[in-house]
Amino acid sequence: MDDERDACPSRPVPDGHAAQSDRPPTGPRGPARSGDRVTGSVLILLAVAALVHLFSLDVSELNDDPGPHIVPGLAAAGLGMSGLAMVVRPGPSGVSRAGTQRHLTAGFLAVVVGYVGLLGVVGYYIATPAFIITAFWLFSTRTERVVLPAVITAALVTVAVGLIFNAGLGVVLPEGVF
Amino acid sequence: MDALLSVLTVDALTAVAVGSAIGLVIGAVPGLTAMMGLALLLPLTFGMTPGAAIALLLGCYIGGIAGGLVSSTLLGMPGTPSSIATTFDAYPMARKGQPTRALGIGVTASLFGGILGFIGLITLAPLVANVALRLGPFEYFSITALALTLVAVLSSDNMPKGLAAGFLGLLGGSIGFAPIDATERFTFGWEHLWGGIAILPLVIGLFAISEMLRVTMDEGRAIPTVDVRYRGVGLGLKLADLTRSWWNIVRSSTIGIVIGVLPGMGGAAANLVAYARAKQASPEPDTFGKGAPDGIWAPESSNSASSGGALVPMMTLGIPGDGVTAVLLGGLIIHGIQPGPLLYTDNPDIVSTIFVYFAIAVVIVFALQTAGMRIFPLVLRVPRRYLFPILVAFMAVGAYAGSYQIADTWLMVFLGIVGYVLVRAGLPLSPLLLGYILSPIVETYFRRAVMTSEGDYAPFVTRPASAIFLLAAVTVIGCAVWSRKRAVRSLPSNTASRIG
Repeated sequence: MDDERDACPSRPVPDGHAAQSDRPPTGPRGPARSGDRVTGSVLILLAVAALVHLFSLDVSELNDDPGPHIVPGLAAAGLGMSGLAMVVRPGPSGVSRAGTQRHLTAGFLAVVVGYVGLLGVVGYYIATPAFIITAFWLFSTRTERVVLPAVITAALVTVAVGLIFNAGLGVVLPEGVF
Repeated sequence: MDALLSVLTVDALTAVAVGSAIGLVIGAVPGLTAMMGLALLLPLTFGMTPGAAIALLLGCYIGGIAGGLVSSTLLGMPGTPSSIATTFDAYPMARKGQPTRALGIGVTASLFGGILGFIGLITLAPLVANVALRLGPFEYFSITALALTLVAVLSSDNMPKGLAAGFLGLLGGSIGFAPIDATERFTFGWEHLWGGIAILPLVIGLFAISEMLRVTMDEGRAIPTVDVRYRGVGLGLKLADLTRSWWNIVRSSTIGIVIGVLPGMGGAAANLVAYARAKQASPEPDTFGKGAPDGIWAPESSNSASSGGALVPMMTLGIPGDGVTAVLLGGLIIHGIQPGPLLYTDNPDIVSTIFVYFAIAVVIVFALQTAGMRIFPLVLRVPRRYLFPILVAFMAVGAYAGSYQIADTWLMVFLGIVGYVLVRAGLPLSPLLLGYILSPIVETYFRRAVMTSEGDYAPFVTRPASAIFLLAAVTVIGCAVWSRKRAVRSLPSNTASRIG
């Protein structure tokens, strides 16, 4: 579905370069302001929840120790105030506008989640090739979806990463529950 | 000389070379940063000696900063935030048919900047460490608060968001058993969180998984179409190019060192400031932006020099100057090395090791860049269908390898999603990581300080050094508020009223 769009490469911009990008600028209007308000509200809720948790702790009294709730409590208070500032005065920079590849991103995330789930169940040597073939397929356009390169890549990567961690670093790879 | 010989092992030199090569490749790919490279390499260091681990990570650090040159020159896109200004003149020079010369100037500038950064590091670090030894818990708390404030305020154009990210990091770092009295916090009965969130899934999730999600969402499957053929022999520049710009190199490197030392600034700011100063000082400022050699010498020498400067606060105070050095600090902590003022007295061999590997990494990165000028540009063409599955497999096993628990791999994915949401909401990730790393340090110093003063909080503001650091933190926030108000005032009245 995204194949047509893929034919026109966009200009990738590294993290932190939003100002340099050719993405549509986000101004103080509409989504940017409401986005800031939503984010600020969530942060306030988080801060309140953290404060409630901290002040419900059973604290052992050491000599003159301010206790384990003070520093995180100050951080939670600061978080709440920052959130409040975002709600009251949403900033001109606002939220950055997301790209259009929602299906691809959701698919990628699903494949990653599936991989991690499989790692714990069937182990590294079954989960990894299955993941790589699926992800290879997902990131290929229709004309690039050829079985042989996917299988060869999966086999090579599985063996290479396995060798690096297992033989090279002595890491015992996930074996699954079987 | 003894220190030099004792650390020059084949394993360590190989580690520097491998780390540098990986850093160069990752730095060259737009969207992949030095921070992500370090996150990927952290699991690989588990089986290594601390010396080899430092070598690998330092190589990746230096290589990652230098690697941004390739995409800046050939694509006009900064490979890393440290090479934003490089695009201004390197890309026009390449478009004029001189890509070899543009790359050659950048590579040479990185070498000289790196050497001067190394000189800055070995000169400044002992001085700062000497002063740091005289500071007590009050001063340490205050200086840590200042560093966190600087990073939070400077890493975002929206101060509340920067501060919120820093506070989130502080809260995240307080998960698990508290320092001093081991009170259980924010674990909600999950034993896996008793020791806190492990640094490996945190770093990989926040900086690698979230970045892959962002790149996938914004760019999809596409990679840039670019002619990456390399034409020419050697570095493509003459000795006269170097001698003509020697003062620009020295000035830009000095700017890089000074900015690198300040928490929150780093290479991203250094290259822009050095570029602006070079343009200001140039007799031909009109040539800037059209392929002026000085417009490449300045940013590339300053971003390399800033790497040396950024290591000064990390080594002497245990306070990373930016996100990349925060990851580097995490890597050292994993190997039982706690940077700070005591590092100089307790582990002088580690200090020598860092100095020596830094210098070696600078030279190796230069050699690799020179030798690989035909190869590294090809990295820009690696399709995502190969790159992303390989990276994810590597990261999943890496997160697992830290604890042998799949729960850490789940945590990595979860934090990746959190990181993506935060980036979309405009919250910078560097203060979050810095807050997470500094959280136990801040808390320990704070509680120890109050206990030593028998419950009196006044010394935080009555002890001169502590008061100065706290005042500086308040001033930073005050300046940010003032400049924001001024920016709002300068907007048209109807826009200003909407912002408030």
